Amino acid sequence: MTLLDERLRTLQHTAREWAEQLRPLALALEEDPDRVRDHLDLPLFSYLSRTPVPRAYQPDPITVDGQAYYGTGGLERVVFCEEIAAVDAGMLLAAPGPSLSGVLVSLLGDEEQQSWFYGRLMERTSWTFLALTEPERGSDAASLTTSLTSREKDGPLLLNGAKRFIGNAARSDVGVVFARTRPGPLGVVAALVETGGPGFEAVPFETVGLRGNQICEVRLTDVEVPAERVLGRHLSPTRRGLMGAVQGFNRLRPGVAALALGIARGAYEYVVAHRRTLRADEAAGLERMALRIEGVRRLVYRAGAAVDRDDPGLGALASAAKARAAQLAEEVTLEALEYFGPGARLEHPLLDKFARDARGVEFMEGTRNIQRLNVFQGLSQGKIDRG
Amino acid sequence: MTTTHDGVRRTARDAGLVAALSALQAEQASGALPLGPAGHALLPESVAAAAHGVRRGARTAPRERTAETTLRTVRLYGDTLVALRHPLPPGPEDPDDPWALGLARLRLGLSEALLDSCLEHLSARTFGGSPLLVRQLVQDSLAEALTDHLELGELLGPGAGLTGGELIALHRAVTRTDRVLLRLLGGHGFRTDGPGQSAHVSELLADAYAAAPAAPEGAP
Repeated sequence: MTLLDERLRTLQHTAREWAEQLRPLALALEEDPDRVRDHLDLPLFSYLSRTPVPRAYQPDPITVDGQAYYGTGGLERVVFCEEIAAVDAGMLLAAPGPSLSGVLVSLLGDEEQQSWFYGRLMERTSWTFLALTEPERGSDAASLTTSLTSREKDGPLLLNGAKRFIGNAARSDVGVVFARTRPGPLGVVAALVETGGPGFEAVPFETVGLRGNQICEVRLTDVEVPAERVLGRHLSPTRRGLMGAVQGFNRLRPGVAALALGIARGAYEYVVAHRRTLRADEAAGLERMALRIEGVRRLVYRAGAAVDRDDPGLGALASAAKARAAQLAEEVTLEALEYFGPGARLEHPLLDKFARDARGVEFMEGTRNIQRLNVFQGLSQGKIDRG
Repeated sequence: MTTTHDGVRRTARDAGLVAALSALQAEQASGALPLGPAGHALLPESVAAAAHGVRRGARTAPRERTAETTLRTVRLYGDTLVALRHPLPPGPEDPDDPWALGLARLRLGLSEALLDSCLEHLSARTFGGSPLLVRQLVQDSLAEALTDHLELGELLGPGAGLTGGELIALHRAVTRTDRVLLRLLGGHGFRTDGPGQSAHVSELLADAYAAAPAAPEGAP
């Protein structure tokens, strides 16, 4: 069982306080994701705009009770994500900062690339995005077709293609885009892309939930990418290509699992806070719910700790946690509504929001089926320590 | 447009939620807002605007606009639905709830349309060069959903005599099946301009009209 040390308990406690400040804003932010700009001075956004940034590039880390937090740890990430998502997952996804691309850059970027990317984010608060999924293929990343090629020898690299379901792309200055330099699995690279130049177009579309994330369609037409912005120049082609992406997503997935866990916990806590008197069957149902949440929390912590240990079982552990947490989020939010009788979704908009948001974690970083296949792979390759 | 037991299911499957809901209201609660157990209504805006009475089972009363609260409007493709709460007509609850039965058939039809959307979507998408439809995990979920539909179709067929509690359970089952199908659509099922929004409004209908009563606060 993974235990939190005092440093992480401090972060957990602090994140809980920060999240509470957001509760009154959740529905307004959902109505208009841009309203987040009015609240960027809140400590939560201050933390998210400056994490994850490796120690070497962070001269001014967030400090709580004398402890510095860089947001780069796996366990740190899941503890934090759960607390915020227990109030409003949309708010977490609406925040500017290195976010998902920060994790990729720290894994694949060389010194100069990291310095450029983190440096500009420290200079000026900005949203970032991570673009892998394409309109024709979600889970099938290996077949991606967005191209990064030059038309003439020594000419500039040009990015062409389309991406879909890319959070925050329309308001980001910079992000990471996966593209193909040549056919085959070694032909995939990740590049740092600035959105200000010609040919980059991101259009938000409406979603059932998680609207704070402002999910977009992205079209790329001859977007110029300097050669030095292709991540992982210092790595072998195997490590910077698709394998690098897989490793990056393995490190991100526990965070998505924590997001789902937080949504489930938020719905559970909503019931506890608003239903004072329970029938025996209702009390028993809540007890079961709490136990399931705790079980998934253990899985999520284990996956977070696997990031910190470079555990060979990370991929499978992260997938197990993510699939189970997404399932929990859907089931618990629907169940929680039943504690308020007919019209619950209309009379309890925050609980309705949890239920809609829960549907959005299912496909983030791979659907349940894809995660199951990963878990089986971990089992068949003996990568999971089964005690 | 007929809304006999098969009619409303068929209309929902072929013409969508708004058409089927309008037809069901015209047949069962013409000129009135059909109310759920706690006085909620969810209807297309134009249908709600034209209602001059309220109905709960066999009980009716004039509509009192000053006594009602508009809770939300919901967009569904080009249409707008309105959710409101109105005091219930006086009198005891009927054991039968034909509106909840009609809605269960309607939601089953929508769920069948969702299965059709899944087939279309998954046959057009590939993984490693082959359509997603050939994947066994995908086939398993589709088979599960179809079996649910067949079972629900039997239970909700002509002459269905279901109690309120049974209808609540069947509505829950439709929601569960919808969720299985929505998962197969991945991100596509999360867009408001796609089948996922219709499934969301379908869940709202179940919530307003066919949710189990919660324990009253303050009850021992």
